[in-house]
Amino acid sequence: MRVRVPARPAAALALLVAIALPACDRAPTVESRTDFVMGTLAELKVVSDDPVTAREALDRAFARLREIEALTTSYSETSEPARLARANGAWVEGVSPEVDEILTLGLRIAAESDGAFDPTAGALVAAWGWPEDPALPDSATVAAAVATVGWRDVERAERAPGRIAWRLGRPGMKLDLGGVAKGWAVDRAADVLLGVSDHCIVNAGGDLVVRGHRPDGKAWLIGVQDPRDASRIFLKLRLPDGTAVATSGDYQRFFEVDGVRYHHLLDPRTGWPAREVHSATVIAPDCATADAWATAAFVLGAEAGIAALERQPDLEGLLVTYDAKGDLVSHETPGFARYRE
Amino acid sequence: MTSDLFSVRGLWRALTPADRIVSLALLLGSIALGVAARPSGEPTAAVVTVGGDVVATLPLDRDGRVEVQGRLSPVTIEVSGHAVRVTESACPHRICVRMGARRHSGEIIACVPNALVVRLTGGAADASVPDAVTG
Repeated sequence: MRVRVPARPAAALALLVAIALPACDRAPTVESRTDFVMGTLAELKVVSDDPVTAREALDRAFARLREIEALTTSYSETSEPARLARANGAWVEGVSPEVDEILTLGLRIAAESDGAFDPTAGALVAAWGWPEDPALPDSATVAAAVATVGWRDVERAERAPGRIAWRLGRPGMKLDLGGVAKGWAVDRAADVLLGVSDHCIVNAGGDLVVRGHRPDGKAWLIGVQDPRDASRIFLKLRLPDGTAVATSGDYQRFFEVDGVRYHHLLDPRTGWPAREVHSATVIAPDCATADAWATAAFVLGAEAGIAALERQPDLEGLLVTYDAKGDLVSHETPGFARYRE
Repeated sequence: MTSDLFSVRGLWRALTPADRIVSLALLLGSIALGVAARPSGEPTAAVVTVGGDVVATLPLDRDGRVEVQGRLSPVTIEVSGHAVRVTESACPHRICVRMGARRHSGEIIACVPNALVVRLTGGAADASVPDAVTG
């Protein structure tokens, strides 16, 4: 049925609408905030037509990041990894749900990667002095630290629903949850932002998750840093709703001794920096998984790393090596190409 | 006389010449206002923060250098050719220096040990510039 109205009032109404529309324009915009947390710069963006609500959500998301950092850091005597290490092999009761979930995921990926990722490598990381004061340890120190590493020797017990205990089973064993906790925290911060908007990005030092899309309706555009030149973008990815990406590279944190570069991505099985791959980028449904698998694939090397990623459902990856001439060589899972811009 | 509210042609026919002139003027005026209100072009400034506090705002149309005190060390920031970069920092890994120049609105350079962020502001967001970078 057609609505018929007198012409002059219709014209007047149309004119009013034409005049009022620009004034009432509350198109969604991107509210963003950056701050330092978990040893890196985090940048959170949320698309909203209500800036006040968006800013409040950003406050809460950063608070959640800091809460998880306090629980999981290796650099505080009050954190849960420190409490577990001090127990010296005894059971620790009342482990938080956060650490329980992170450690469970980390141990699962340790098993799936045959120990290339291992959340029990805390003593090894400390032996190298990462992240604050890195220095080349002698072979005996590295061997002693590797002896404390072993994902198989960690035990979990559920005393009652919600009452969780964990035990580190090797003498001197320490957790380093950094390779998975940051990604997990990114996921939880995104959960907070989803309370006010379906569209957001949470990025903590290159470990990031996207929800929804950009204000222009296109998928979020993510740059991958060139491993040879931090000022350049090596490729661009279009990430759809509910996708995370993380990259591990040997070009961020390193030092040199006698012309040899030593970076922070250690093979937990040998105790020394993994040498073949220069950059590993992993796309996953959640950032915790992407974070841990980026480290695992880097350590495994190009061929084994790609093979391991292909065995995992919902994971895609790109590993970069150099050829003899120093040119970049890309190795990627079959499904990675669909994310390329 | 009646007309269909949802028919542009019907509405147009119902208007007098004067109505049409006024309508067109208003429409063009609205479009012009909308375009004028949008930011456009290159970023206009680099805003430097240390620990969240703004310590310098550098116009990008004037080349020059400024030294700011970060949490750990002094940091030298250079504006050249409408781009900004960190040229000197005593931080351990010098990632901020290796990040090179930034020239697009919204891009940032960060130095974690110094709690320093340089952000390009002003101008329109460039749709070809990534929303985030992994690396």
